[in-house]
Amino acid sequence: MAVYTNNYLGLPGLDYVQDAGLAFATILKVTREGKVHKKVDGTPGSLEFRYTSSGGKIEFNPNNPFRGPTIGRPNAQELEKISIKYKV
Amino acid sequence: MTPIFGYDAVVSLIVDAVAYPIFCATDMALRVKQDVVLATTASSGIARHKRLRGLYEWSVTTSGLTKINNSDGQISFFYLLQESVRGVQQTIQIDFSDAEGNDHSISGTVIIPELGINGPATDWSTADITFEGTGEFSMAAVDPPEPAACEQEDTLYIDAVAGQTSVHHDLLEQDGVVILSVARTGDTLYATNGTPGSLQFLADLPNGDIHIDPTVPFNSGEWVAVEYKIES
Repeated sequence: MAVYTNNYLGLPGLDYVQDAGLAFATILKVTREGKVHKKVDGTPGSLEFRYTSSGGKIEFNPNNPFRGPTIGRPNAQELEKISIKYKV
Repeated sequence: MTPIFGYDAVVSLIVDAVAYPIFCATDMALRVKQDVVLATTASSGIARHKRLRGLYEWSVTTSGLTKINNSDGQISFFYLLQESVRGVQQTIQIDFSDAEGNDHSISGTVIIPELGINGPATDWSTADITFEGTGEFSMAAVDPPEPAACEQEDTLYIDAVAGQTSVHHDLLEQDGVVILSVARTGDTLYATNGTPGSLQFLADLPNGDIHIDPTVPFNSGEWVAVEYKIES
């Protein structure tokens, strides 16, 4: 077993991150802007996420997409930070 | 444990019970060759079977720069070249060590079937020598490998009961549980050994409980994420 932590910047307007490296992994911890999120099976709400194993996809509350400008090149400081700890 | 660097593999000649490095060696090789006999039978299928006869031979070769005499504590090629030295059995010792101070030593009686020195016009002279073991070599036993400690790591999401100040999970009652992180409805809590205050938790592991600030009980819909591992 190996444990890894991947950090992402949320793409403005999206409500998920997807990474083939997360496929078929065990998700240990997901934080968005430093807030730990709870794993759920249904549509995620506030402070919740849903993991799709086959696609390596972590979805957040669809009513709260990642902030930031959806037009033009965003400043990294403006983007939301997502940290995913997982084991494979 | 770190790998052995070549510099830390030293071949020495034993003279009057003292080990002296042979040459200023830059290379060494130890070879062990075991006698193998065929053991194929009519029922062996299409692959040959083999077995060991129980006999083996071993040899050590080393090469490097050398000096005229042994005055600096290294065995000179010319010392070994003497009939009184190369013509009789000798005892050698090979010492391996690593950067962490671990070491291993192999020693045995040898004869010297071959040695030589060359002198390229524009480079240092290098000497080489072959030692062939006569009889068994000796070394300390090396322990067999042990399975690495098994670690399981996982995360529990425990729904809290409104008004309570702790959560419980049976998996946290297991032996060897180590709490890696605790979060209360998104907020990371920090471990304490006393009564937890704001943003603190107390793990009561034998009972599988995580206690939070007793003055701020859970509200409806709150949950606790417990990241833990089990060390065995």
